[in-house]
Amino acid sequence: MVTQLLLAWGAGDKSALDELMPAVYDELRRLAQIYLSRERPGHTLQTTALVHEAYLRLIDQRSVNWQNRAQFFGIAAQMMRRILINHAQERNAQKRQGYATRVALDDAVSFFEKRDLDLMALDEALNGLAALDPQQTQIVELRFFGGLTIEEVSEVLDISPATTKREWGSAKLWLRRTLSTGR
Amino acid sequence: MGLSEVVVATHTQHREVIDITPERWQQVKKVLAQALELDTKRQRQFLDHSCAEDADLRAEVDLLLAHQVDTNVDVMEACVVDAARLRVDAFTAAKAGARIGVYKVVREIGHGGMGTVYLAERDDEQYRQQVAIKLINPGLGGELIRRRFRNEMQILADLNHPNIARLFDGGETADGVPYLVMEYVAGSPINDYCDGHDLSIEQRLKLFSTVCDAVQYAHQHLVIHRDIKPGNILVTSEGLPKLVDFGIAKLLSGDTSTPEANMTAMPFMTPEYASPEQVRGASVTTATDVYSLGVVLYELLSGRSPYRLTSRVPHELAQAICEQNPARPSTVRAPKRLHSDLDNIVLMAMRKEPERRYGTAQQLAEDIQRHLDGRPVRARHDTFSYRAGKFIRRQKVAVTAAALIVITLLAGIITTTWQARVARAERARSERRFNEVRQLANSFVFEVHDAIANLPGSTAARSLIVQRGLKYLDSLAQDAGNDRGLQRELAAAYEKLGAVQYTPTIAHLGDLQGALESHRKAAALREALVASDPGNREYRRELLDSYWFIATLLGAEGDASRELQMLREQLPARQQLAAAEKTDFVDRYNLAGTYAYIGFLLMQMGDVKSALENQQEALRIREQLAAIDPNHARAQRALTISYEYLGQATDQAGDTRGALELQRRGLEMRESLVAADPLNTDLRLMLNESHRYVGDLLLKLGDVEQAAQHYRKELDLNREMVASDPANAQFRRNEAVALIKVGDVEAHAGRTAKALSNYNEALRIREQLSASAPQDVTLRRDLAEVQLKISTLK
Repeated sequence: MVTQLLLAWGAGDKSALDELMPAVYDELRRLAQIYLSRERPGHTLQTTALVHEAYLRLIDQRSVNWQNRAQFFGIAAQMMRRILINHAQERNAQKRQGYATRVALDDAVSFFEKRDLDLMALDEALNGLAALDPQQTQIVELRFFGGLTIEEVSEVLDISPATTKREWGSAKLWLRRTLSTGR
Repeated sequence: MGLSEVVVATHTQHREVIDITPERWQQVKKVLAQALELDTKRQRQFLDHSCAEDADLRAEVDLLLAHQVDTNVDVMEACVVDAARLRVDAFTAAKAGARIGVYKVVREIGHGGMGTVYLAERDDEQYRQQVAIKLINPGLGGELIRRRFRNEMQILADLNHPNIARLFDGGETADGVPYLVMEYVAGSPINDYCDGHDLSIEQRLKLFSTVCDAVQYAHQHLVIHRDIKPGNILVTSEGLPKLVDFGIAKLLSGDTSTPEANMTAMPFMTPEYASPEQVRGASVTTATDVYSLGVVLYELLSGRSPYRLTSRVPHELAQAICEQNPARPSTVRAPKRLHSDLDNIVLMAMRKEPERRYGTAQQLAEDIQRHLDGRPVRARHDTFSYRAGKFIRRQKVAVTAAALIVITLLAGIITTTWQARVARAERARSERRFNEVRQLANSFVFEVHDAIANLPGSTAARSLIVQRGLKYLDSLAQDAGNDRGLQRELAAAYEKLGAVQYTPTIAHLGDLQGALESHRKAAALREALVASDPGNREYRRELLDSYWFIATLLGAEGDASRELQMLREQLPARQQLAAAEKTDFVDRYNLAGTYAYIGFLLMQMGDVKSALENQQEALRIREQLAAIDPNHARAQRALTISYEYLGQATDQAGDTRGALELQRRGLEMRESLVAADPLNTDLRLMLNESHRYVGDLLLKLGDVEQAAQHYRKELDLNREMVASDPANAQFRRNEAVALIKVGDVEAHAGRTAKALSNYNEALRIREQLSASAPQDVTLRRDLAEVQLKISTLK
């Protein structure tokens, strides 16, 4: 099921990601519970590894024909973004989640907050950037939520490292300015 | 418009700027990108020029540039770095034809969590050289790795051995990804090679010995491999084994004693070959490699991995590696038979405690050679290890130890003047000297050593102090001829040395053979003393002490049946001592202790019936001792322990009610002992345990409410102890255990809310405990246990 959704996503069906999310959440909750014992405060971005692993477990890699890394990291970074934003929203709305998931994600979100980064505002700003320049948005997602290096981003998007670096640089300025003006 | 004005204007202008069109943004972006390449002064010139006809464009670019920050303080960059650190990279990083340093990538040849290995070649005009390049997963990277690379590279590059793949070079790619250039070994992993070539056991052993020699060579050059596994032992088509990746694990994970490094490394490690100390995050030594060599040999001989690892979850893996006892290789190999010597060799290399393995890779190779030569091997069957630990701690053998400081000071004081042949006129002075030295030497071995007991990290110093003192006593004894007093002191000094060398329950040097030797020397001296004066009870008592030590060490060495046999052999002598004088407390106390220990060993061996008999005999004597003097604290305490052990044996024998009766008696006694001595921590801990034992047995009998009462009592008492000493981790651990016990019975009774509140309190305590000692696997497991209980309940 998951594999089919992924293939659909790869073929351009963006709504496939929406259908994928609940399954990822279930897996995430399970993993978070298992991993919590070795989590410590401050070890926040284990959440990234957690999401990747949840995702890797879901897909049967043999049946998915990975053309390149773009598909994998593209989806993983988008999932990471959604998961963190959802969590920030739900936390504000005082919704109840599973204990372990909550702890793992609380960590990740509070990590951004500690760095004075408002995740919700960043999400909004990214949506704004997407209207201006979808590729730049992708670069930010891959860097910020996927943890990819400049080199890797350029490989994933099939552009030169110099271009990636430039685009990342100007996207950062745009985002920072947008965030600082409080819009 | 100047830059500062732009910043001020931000709040009024942002509307227009943000609402730009995609087309406009492309324009802005282009100028911005070019400007970013320049320093401030040239930036302004560039902007003056390129925006000369578009003031709005200039304003927009200026506004964005005003938000530039230094990379060091760039929050977004920091987030990227953090995201990178722990990501799971499922894909390779370089493609064929890519350049890394002066090398050109040919193809990928390996892939793992730590990075990807490529076959590459140096395509200078002069010569073509094939190398293996390991590109380190950027997620692991950072400045730390780079620094470590610089520090360690030279040491590794100096390793020059025919069976070790050379490290040629290392550096960073343009993108800052660290890489290593190594000798390319075209070969297959040792296990595949052996199976593919259908090698006989003997051939496998010989091949493996060569590997041990290479490891030994590296160890002599102070390099530990840390990640020995078949995939890192490649055998070429000529049959030449080569170890690859020597010391690389250290470059990548650095100080594995930090929990971060350990946790990060865990998902990437091949857990089957990781030693207990590695999964625990304890320090890694050459013994770690000996362990991994043992695992590889296990596989080569049996064709199977020693552990049945069904989980990839770190703490479960750690538990398996630290606690599972692998089956003897011969029992898993079919159909060919394996010699039991080989079982012993493999299992000795794989012992859980580093100090109980072969001391070096060479010793492992030598034992294999002994086996090949048909000579007896050093390794022996290991069955018991430290199971006696708790017992010994409680029963007897209060051998203190620890030490440090003052060695040099004392060594200076003790001169060798007494050795000089003295003239008649100097006799008086020399006798005084003699006695001074004797006093000092004794002070060395006993007072100094004991006074600085329990200082962490002092084991080696303790050994030095004791040995030095011993040496002087020995010389004095030789000078003084048959001075029984000196012989006795000498024996006591050997006993102390033996304790420093090896005592399961305290810090020691891990030198079991040395300890045995020391205690045997003490025993020989004491045997001579007993022979010279058979009526001397002290001499006989001390000789029995020596025998006791030797027996327990044989047990620690793994020879439980000899341990048991020796202890049983002591019984007549102990009975004789105990019978000679009814009122002599210590002899009867020791006799009871011997019965109790024998019973303990028998229970471990599964002989419940004999265990019961011995515990009953111990109880009988202890009841008498306790009755003689109801105020004798040691006797009373020993009696409660007998109730506890006999209770356990009785439970083991299937008589739960009988066990409950005994544990209750122990509980009552401990209550009155605590009432008489309310500040005695040891007694209070024992009382709390009694409540738990009684609770457990009641629960087993189905009496939930009564069990709950005992658990709650245990909890209350534990809380009192925590209140009196909040910093004491053991008290808090006990509190958490009690909370969980109470939570369990609440859950059992269907009172979910109450159960949860107990569990949650235990969770908080365990979280704190685990946070203060993050590398402690047991604490993490405890934490996971309560988390699981909570999530199950929810």
